[in-house]
Amino acid sequence: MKVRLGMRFDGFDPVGETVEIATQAENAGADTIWMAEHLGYREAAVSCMAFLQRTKRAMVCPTAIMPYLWHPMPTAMQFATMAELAPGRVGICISVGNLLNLRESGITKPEKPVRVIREFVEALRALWAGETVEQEGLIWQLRGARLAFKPPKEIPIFVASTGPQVLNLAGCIADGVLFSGGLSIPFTKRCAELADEGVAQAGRKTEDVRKAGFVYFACSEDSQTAIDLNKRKLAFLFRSSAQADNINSIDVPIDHEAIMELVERRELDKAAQLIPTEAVQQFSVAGNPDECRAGIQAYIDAGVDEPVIEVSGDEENKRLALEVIREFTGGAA
Amino acid sequence: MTTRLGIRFDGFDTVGETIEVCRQAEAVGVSGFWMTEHIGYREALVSCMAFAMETERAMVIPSTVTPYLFHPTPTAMSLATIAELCPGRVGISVGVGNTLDLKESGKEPKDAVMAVENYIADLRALWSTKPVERETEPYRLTGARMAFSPPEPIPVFAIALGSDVATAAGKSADGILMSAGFSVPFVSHCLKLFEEGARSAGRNPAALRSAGNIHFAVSADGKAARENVRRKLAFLFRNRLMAENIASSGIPIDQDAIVEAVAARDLDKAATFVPDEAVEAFGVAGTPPECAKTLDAYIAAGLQEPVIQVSGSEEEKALALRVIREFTGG
Repeated sequence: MKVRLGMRFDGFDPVGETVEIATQAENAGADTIWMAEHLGYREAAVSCMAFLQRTKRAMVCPTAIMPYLWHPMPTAMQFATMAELAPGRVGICISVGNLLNLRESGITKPEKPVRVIREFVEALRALWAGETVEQEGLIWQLRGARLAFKPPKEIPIFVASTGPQVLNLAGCIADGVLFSGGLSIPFTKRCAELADEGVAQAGRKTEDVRKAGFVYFACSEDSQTAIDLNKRKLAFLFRSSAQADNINSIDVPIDHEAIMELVERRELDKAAQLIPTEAVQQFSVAGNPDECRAGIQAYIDAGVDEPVIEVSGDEENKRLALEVIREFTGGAA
Repeated sequence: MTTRLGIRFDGFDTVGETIEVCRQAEAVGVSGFWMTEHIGYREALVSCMAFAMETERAMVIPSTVTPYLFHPTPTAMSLATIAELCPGRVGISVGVGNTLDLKESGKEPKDAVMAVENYIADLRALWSTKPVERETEPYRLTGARMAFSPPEPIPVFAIALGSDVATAAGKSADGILMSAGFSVPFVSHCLKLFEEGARSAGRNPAALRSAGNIHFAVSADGKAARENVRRKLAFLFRNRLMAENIASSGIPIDQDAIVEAVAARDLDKAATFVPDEAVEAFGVAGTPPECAKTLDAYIAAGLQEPVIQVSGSEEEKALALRVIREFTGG
């Protein structure tokens, strides 16, 4: 499978700025633009529509649509509309979503995620095929729902997770799997294996399921600056107890309990000091341009077909990130 | 006040064609693009982002966004994102939606008026970045909060299918969008109720906005346009909620026969129950001068923004754009 390089946005910056960066990244050779659907921030589908209108080639992928909040019918309509305007350039990524944010929007406990994701994927595919859909799902019910138009080209469906059951499901039914950011190389390998088990179980080929991976990325002429940037990102990520398996996947000792306590007390600087420098290179890509290229390659060697990096920070960080994209991809075709 | 004229899209045409019509319509003076959220067709939120990016001045308004299918958190995010890119050019119209479509999507509303009122309040609260709490029929919010605000307020229109919603809209919404097929006297009646509703809630009616969807068709001879609108009205009048509008006109129309014919998928037959005087009373149809005259009647009734369609053959679209140019002054 051809390796691609993607870039991602988190919705924290004004959409005008992200449209501009998306354009620059495409010019530098980025193949895909992933826009996180962080609840409360810039919305990913309308942002991706804007990206489509200002870029020419890159695929856009709102990430991740949560089946507990998004009804499949308007979701199918949205993506088919985007795909009609830019055939072959639209994907969708589905996942359970952030538990805290879901709770704030009324989803107390996202039950049976494997079933819910499966039903959502099946509903989208059937609607896009123009079928009249009958589905008594756990969250949504479709009783004769039907789209009056079809996307002109297939919309690939990615499923995002690090959990074994959902990764297995992704391997069985999805067009791609997305690994979240901040995973170690060994943990990434394990996730890829779990997805491949699903692929084999469903009698599919490995190349049927693209493996994309968000990679925490910071690039600076001065390696230490980039490493310090990623220490903060990792400390924030490690506020979650669910990161224990990922943290324990490397040999470097990390005081996870202490980090969680400090982040809860909003002392992110102190929490960042508990991330050892040698761990930064194992959970992320950080350093000067040469080190970053090597870091990206390490994720590819671990089984990621499409590393997805950020183009963020100050002007120098952004310029260097675009430079890495350009060198890595060979520039825009 | 400058005369405003909006156009609306139903999502039946490709989004690329619709964008092209937006460009042409803005060039002849259109002030708003209303994109109806018809379930199963092109989706309005992403379409409106496309319209906003490809035009410079007109407002974009996703229309008939229903709380039963669009959770308020992502909806508030979507509107605020478009507004951030195009400040002051975004609105939304909220309504319960078509009951048949909702049923197909697994929803059978119990208290639609309350759901719409809550939805309007919740969107506004989310845009203010305050945490929002709500227990309501279609959704729950338990501290949901936006991290950014739209740079300018996003006006929220409520859709009125009859007089009761007109009063309720005056109490809570920033504007009213009247359903297509209202006669001029019925528009006048609903506007009066809208203003009364506003005053009863201690609001200034002069600060609120009004818009009305109008079934519109224009042709060189006027005849083809009238037949076009006759069929649209026949389809519209299948809806029992139109009984009040029909009765207010005093025109004898056999709504039972229309309902029966439409149910039998015989629209030609249904159209025969819509008399000539009804076409004149409930729509805008005819030659360009005839259309301009009827649009003026809606303005004289107090409607701020008639909302018409630019559709049909290339010749019909060109004529519609001509009417718009003459009506708005270009």
